[in-house]
Amino acid sequence: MEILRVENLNKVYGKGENEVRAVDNVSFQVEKGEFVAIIGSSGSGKSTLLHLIGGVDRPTSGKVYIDGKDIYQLSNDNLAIFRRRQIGLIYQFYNLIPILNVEENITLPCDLDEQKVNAEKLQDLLKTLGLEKRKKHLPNELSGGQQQRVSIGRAIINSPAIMLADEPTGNLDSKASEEIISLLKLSNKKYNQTVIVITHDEKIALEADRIITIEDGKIIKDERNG
Amino acid sequence: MSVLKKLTIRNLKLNRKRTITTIIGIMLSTALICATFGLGTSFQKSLLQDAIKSSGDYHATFYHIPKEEQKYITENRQIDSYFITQDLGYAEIEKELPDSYNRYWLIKQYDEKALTNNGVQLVEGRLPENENEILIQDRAADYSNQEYQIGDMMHLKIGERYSSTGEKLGVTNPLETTEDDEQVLEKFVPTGEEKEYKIVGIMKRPSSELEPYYAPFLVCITYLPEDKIVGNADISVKYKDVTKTYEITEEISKQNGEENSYEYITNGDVLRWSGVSKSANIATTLYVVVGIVVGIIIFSSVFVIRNSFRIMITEKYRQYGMLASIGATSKQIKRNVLQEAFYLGAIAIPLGILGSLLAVFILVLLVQNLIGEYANMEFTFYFPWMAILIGTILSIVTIYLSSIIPARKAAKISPIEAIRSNTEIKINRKKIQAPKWVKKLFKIGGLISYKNLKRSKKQYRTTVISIVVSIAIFLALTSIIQYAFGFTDIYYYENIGYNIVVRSEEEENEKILQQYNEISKIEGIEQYSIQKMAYITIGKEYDNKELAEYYGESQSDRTIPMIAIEDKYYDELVQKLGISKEEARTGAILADNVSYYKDNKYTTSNQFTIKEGETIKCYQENLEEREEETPIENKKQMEIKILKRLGEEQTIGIGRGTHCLIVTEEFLQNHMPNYRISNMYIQAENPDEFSKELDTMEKIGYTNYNESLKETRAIRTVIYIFVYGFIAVITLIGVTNIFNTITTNMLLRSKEFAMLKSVGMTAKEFNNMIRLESIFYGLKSLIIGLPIGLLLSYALYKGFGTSMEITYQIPWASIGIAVLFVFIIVFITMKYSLNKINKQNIIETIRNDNI
Ligand SMILES: Nc1ncnc2c1ncn2[C@@H]1O[C@H](COP(=O)(O)OP(=O)(O)O)[C@@H](O)[C@H]1O
Ligand SMILES: [Mg+2]
Repeated sequence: MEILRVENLNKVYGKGENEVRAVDNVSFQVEKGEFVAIIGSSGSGKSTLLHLIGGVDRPTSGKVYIDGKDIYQLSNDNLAIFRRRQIGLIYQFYNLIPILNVEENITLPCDLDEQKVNAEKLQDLLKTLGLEKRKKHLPNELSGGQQQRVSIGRAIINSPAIMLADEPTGNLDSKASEEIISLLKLSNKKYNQTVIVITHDEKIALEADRIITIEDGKIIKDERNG
Repeated sequence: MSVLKKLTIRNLKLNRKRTITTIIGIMLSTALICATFGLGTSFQKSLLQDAIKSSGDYHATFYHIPKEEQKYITENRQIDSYFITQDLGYAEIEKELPDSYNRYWLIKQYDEKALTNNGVQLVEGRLPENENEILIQDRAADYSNQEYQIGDMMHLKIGERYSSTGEKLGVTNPLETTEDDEQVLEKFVPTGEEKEYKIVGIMKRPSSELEPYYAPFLVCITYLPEDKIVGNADISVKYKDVTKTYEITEEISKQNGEENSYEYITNGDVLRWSGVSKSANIATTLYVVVGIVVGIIIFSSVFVIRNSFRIMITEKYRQYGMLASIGATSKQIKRNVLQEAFYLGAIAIPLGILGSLLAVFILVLLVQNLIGEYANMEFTFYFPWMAILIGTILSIVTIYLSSIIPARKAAKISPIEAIRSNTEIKINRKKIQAPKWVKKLFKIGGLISYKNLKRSKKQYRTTVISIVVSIAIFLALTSIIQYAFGFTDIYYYENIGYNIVVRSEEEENEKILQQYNEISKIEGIEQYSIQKMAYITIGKEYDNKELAEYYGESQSDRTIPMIAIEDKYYDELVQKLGISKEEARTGAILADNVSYYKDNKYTTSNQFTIKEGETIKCYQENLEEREEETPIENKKQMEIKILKRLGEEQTIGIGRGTHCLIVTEEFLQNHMPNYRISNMYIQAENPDEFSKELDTMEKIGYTNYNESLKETRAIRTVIYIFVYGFIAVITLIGVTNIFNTITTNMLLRSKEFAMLKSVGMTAKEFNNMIRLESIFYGLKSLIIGLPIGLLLSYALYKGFGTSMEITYQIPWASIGIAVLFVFIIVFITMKYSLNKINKQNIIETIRNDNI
């Protein structure tokens, strides 16, 4: 089943001589349950593409379909609602809300949606993330790896259609990185969660079902792992 | 220019809005301090000039100094300048003046300097230039219908005043007369000397030191040539150091020993406005008030400057960390912060001073135009050097102190900490715990607002305090105005229903009525009332014992007027009192409120112990025979029903404090056939024009209340300008503070906001969250500010309350204004920052902070 379809996506910054084609006419599809890694050199347009898929930016042209829905047809407010239900975003610098504790940060998308949080599910999630004993802690009381786990929790709590991670291990040591990767893998396997992850990390890339390589805003390689 | 210096300037330019608000904050504070001191200087100098003009440019005068001793005063080293005057003697006024009390001239001789420095205020003509020329005062010229005029010659027989017992009388002795003032007892004894003077000028009445109000003479002034200074001169001196006036004067006066000390006076008015005062009482009160005002101003100013700097440094926290990480020393960072402070101060302080000069100039001009005429003095703008100095120093010190602390803190930043954390504040889990109901009631948005308020406690506290100060000052000052004006005559005169009172000098009722009828035909009358009245005495049994005790038996006067007013006004009044027209005609309304001072407090009571509805015994008085004290048994007795007692209600011609019985004309005629027509109360459209018409009529006296009304209005306007000006500036400072804090807080959180949006918060939800935050915020300020303000206003009420009997009123209107104002300001500021944040792109914001 196709969960994501990107059609002729373009993002252009600047005008005339300063024009930068950060994403240059990109098209591809992702099936449900796929684990996709996007690699490429710095400045090649990976983050821009991810943000366009995640609906936090707007493309210059082209379309993004998630679960069959053309997301850029939605109004700003509806797009926001779509984001909290269907998209889980993970950033390199965690970007947690510093005044909310672990539990509150994780349940943020549910709270925004005014849904009841399934206590069992939350408990299970906290256990999976290894944060049971830390659920009342504030982000600044946690290590980098723990913070990133919280942001994974936040991304997954609503069982979104698609989980997007932008260099989630870029700021972590190797041990913490491994934990994060195994968590991403786990959610992919356990919940059949679709995951797209940008990475510089060979290990992650090799764990993926599929590796897309980007250069100068274009897909130059799209290969499946053995 | 070093890179750091360049960075500072670039920072200031980049954060233009922040720079501007900081500059405005410093500007306002400097301006406020300068303006306060500047206004003080201008008023003090104006009052000093006025005092010098009317009482003379000297600090002390020594009297009757013998010739050979004069040089011991004039050559004293502590003396800056001096002038000499002497009394030549008295002379009888030959022409008849209307005021027969003034029967002498007092001829004073002034030397050259005294003529210009002893408070001579020339109205017409010129100063005397030789000993045959003389100045007379305008009263002499007016009184005599210009019988004394410039150019006239006066032939005077000089002499002295002697009392009936043969003692020589001086300047301070009033006219010696018999007990009943009918006959003059003192004698004028000519010395044989005769003088011929030419009147060369007319001056204003000299100060009361020269001519007391009870003096039986008119001072006139002639020239004193140096060789005519005799052995009995008065020397007025000005000291080099005015603050030592009292000591030096004492010292000089006793230079010949205790028993031979000179008589002297000090120039009280001039000394007072020079800041020298013997009795510290009034001065202390004034200093306390000024001290409080200045204290509030400095407090608010320090606050706004401090806040601005803290915010600026918070914003650049990361940058300092970065600088530290690439090797900037703490010293360099500190210098960087101070440099920034220096640039801001260099721009803001001069601007603030300019602004304050302009404001003081305009205010002085305003005051001059509004009350200069009534106060009969000139308010002039004086360049306030001291104020500028004080303002500048205070601002510099404040800026230095408010930047050195954050600078130190910035210097101590560990690079990693600064780069990684995006806020200055370490968040403490316990401190930001929210009760469960917050989330239940206000959802996740409410929870975030609530926690944020707790997190930024320090910043918000600053702002809450500035709002609180504004609210408190506003409430307190509006209460002052309310109390001060509620109990002056202003309110009273405004609502009294007339502005001219006419009295007839005729004896018979018909003639008076004729005159009044004639007046009533003059155009421009809005309403008028002709009062008729007679006197009655109320029986002793109704005496208020307590009052009698207080005033003493003899003081309680039971004879009061029975006043009849036209039916129109009477009916209006009884309607206010709630009695029907029919019932109102069966009796009288009693006005007998008394307020008296007892146990350090004004208390109100009634002169008589009469109850409403009671029928009382009273006696008819005969107007002519009142003085003769007919025994009460012989007076005609009658019974009058008292319908109601007058409270705060008033009608034309009968206001607060009048003691009388109010009745209809018919009632008066029936009960008191011996009534007479008293005053006519007129509300004229243009009282000044109307007065001119009255001037042309014979046997009529009148009082025009418009002048006093105009005067009180002008004074009130001036007070309003100052009070509301003060409130406005304090509020402006508060607003700058609020704006500074809120916008910064919002900008610092923009990454958080972007996060919230990226996980799916809609714009509407976001705006709701911010709105909730402003409500929490405004509420908090109000919860603290209102009670403090009310407490202050209650304290003021207590302060005034000792001298006035008033009930405390909660200033609801002011509270309403304050509440509205706080929310409007907070909302507008939030809205402003929201617009800014909503314009930001989510990704760019997040990316920005991740670099
Ligand atoms: N707001 C922007 N304005 C102009 N150029 C931008 C902006 N954001 C990204 N770019 C440019 O787009 C290109 C792709 O950036 P990005 O997607 O962040 O690359 P990556 O994540 O692969 O390192 C880069 O050349 C970058 O300079
Ligand atoms: Mg990137």
